[in-house]
Amino acid sequence: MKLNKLTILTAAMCLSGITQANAIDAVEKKDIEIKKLNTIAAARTNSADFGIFKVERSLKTVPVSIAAPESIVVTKGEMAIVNIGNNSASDVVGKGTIVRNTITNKLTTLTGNITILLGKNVEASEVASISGMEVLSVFPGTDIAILKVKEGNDLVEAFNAIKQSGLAVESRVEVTETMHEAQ
Amino acid sequence: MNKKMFRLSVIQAALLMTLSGCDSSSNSSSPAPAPTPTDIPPTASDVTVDGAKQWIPVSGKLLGTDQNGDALTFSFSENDETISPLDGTYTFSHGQLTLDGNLFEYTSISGQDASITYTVTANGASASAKVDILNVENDPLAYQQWHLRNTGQKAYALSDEMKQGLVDIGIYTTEEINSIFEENEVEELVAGEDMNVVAAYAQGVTGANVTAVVVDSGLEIRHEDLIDNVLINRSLNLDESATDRTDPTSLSNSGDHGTSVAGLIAAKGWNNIGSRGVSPDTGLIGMNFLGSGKIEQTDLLVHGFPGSGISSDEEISAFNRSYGITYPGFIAYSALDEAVESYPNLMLRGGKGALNMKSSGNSFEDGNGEGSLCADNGANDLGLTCYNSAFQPSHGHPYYLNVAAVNANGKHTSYSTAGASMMVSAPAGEYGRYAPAMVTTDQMTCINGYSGFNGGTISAWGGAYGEDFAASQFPFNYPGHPENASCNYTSTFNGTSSAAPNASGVVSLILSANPELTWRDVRHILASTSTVIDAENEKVELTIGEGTFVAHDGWIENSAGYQFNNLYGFGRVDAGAAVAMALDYSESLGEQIITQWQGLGSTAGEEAMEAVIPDNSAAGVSQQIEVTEDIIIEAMQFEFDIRNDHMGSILNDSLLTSAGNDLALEVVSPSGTRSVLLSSKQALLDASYSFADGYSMGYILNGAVFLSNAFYGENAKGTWTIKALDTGETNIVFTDPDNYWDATGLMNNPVESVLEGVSLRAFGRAVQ
Repeated sequence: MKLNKLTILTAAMCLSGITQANAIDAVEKKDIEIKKLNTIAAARTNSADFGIFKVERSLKTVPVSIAAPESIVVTKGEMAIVNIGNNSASDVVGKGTIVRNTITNKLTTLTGNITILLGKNVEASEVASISGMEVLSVFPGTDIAILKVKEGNDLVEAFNAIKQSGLAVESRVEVTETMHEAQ
Repeated sequence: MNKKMFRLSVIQAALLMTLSGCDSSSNSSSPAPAPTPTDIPPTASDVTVDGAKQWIPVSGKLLGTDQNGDALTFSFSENDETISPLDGTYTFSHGQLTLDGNLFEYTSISGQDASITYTVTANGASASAKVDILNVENDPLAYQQWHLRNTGQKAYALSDEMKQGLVDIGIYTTEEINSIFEENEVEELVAGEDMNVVAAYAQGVTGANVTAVVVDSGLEIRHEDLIDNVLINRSLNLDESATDRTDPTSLSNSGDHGTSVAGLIAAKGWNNIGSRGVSPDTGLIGMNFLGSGKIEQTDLLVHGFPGSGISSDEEISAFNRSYGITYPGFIAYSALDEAVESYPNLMLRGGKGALNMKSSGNSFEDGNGEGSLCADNGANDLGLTCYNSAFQPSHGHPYYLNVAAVNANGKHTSYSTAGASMMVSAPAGEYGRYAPAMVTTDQMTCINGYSGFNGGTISAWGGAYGEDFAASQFPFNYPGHPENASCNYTSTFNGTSSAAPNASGVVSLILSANPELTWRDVRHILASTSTVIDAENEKVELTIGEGTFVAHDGWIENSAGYQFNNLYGFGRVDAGAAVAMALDYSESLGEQIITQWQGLGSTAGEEAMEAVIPDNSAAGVSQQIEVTEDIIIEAMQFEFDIRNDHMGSILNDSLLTSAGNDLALEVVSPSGTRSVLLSSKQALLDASYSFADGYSMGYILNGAVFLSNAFYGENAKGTWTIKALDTGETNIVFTDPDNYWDATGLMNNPVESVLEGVSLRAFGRAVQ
């Protein structure tokens, strides 16, 4: 089938002025320099560490007033995200860690929390226990809980532990920025 | 009825005269003739109506009397011209009056003080007096708010200044611009195309005793036209850096989206200041959700979770959500999001629920990152939506009500994203130049806001073309307009950002009228009372190979009698009809029923199907799902996994696969109603992704849930037929390669797409 399609494509290239089969659509068939599929490459190179976020270990948030201008990546109010040039993998990911949204490519900051939708008959404390976190909030009448990473624990590891546990229907690392925009 | 009785300012005086006759030739022997009764002319006295409210009827009594007891008739005149009633209504330049005997009901339309001359006639004699309407309470800009009462007003668009500016700068000749304006005035300004709020007010409902939450960029809580409705110390500033947590006033100086949104819902009415909200007496709470640097648990607080300050029994009518995500890919459904986003509906207002009113998006023609796709693939010319409302996962459940935007001519705006998830539509308008936009609140002073020196558009146009030209094109927003001296209002606000708050205003009126209603009752009222607009909206049929596919159905009527259109949902909200139904509500919807997901393949927890979707084939691939439950549908969800191995890849160095562009989905209910979930020619360029797991490379749709409201009221029981098809065989060259991938075009999908799973879930109620 794939071969047939390529044959059709090749044939189409030989015909000039061919019109699109769509009777209503006035758009003419676009004659593109495609004869066959030659190469396939990943459209994205920025893979996420968890969810849609990639940890940016070389970036830190500091007050604008003390940031070296040449190191500033972006300013957010009175704070600046700066590149410290040290991509240290040993850093613990937690509250304040800079991450990049791999969809929008924007930088944001972790709050240190994970929002979870608990599985049936699962207590938030159970999830906290297996992930090295503590329960920050539960909401009666819902299966939603907020867990907070303990000092010194790694949030990505906690996130992965929750996923692997099967205790949560879904979990999400909380960041300080919404993807939503006015519309 | 919210009526105000008149005050009698002049005391009626009556003069009774008796006349006696004397006939000198009368014969004393003859009985004296009985005195001929002498008719006494009627009298009339002035009447004063004090403190009427514009658009709200007041009643009073005409002070005409006749000593002889003759029958009285009343007539009216204005400027010495007799006013004849039409269908029992006397229409003056300033208002309307109906009469029942000597009792009248007057509605001020102009909002101005006025005087009516009335004449009482009895037995051929007459007397005149005045009805003086004094101290009418008004909102001076309401007369330009076409979405409330459309008289064909321009709302500061199509202005003389604009016309002259275009001539002066040499873009058009006088003849050319005159022709354009004349055409637009006919096409764009259509009296009567509004939300019929006047009829709601006439029923005594102005939104009191409920509160709307504006979840947005901010809310200027001290705005002169909002402050009286803003609940003191109840708003939230969610910025990490906030110094006053109760004040979400934006620090931007170029316009605050939330402040303009809030004014559409509930700018204080009849305070003789500025504009009027749809629900002018509704309370307001603001939360500055949008932007960066937010505090922990923001997502929950903006849904009224504990800690937000909103108590579970508070009369919150609506959370207005004029925001969204615009991305050329499908975002997977999230059970976590559903749990969070349904909180207002399921937990607030004592369990009766508050409504989430959600803008559908502004990407009918184009969006963000897909470049020239929808100009190049024919969607724009055909009238197909470039982005589908379903691309955003929060549009995939019935707890958010999608709102589309319509114009002052009652037709689709140029930008309003379409889809089967649409619930209703509401006015929003175009850009306030060639066609009206919204007149609403803006950040105060000419230093801040859309109107004023720093307004984004004014700054940009001033910089590019000079201040004179900018002033001419936006005369109301530019500093110095006599009706906007402090630049506290704007005439250029638009988008589904405007449609959602207008619908939120109507929801607030509904719940103000009847606080016993549940959120599902409100949905039912909206579905039952919204107005079919653009009735001739045509279907769009594509020829695919030897067959055809209807990519847009126009209006359909489902088997339960509801009319539906992917552009408009059930139609434009009708405040008057909705309030009337709310006041006399007799439906009992019972408990909400949600079925289990059921279906085939990967979405049903089974092995993935390998149902190939043939390229460029109207036959496509169909699957059937049997529903056994007897349920009256309130909404239907459909989940899909559809693979195309090249999604997320660059082909031949600069091309993307056409698989997402070509994909179309349709569903046919057991009753035979058809709903188009994807029309094809849409901006599905990137691989599907989810917040939980990131990208699903090789998938157009993975865990993708579509909501359709088209089946409202039908029975879910029976066989559902779901069809996926590929509608194209063409390559497309992008006329502008400015897209996320710098791609130069689409290659007709070299591999076919595969349906791996499809499931459905019904929301509804038991058959009674």
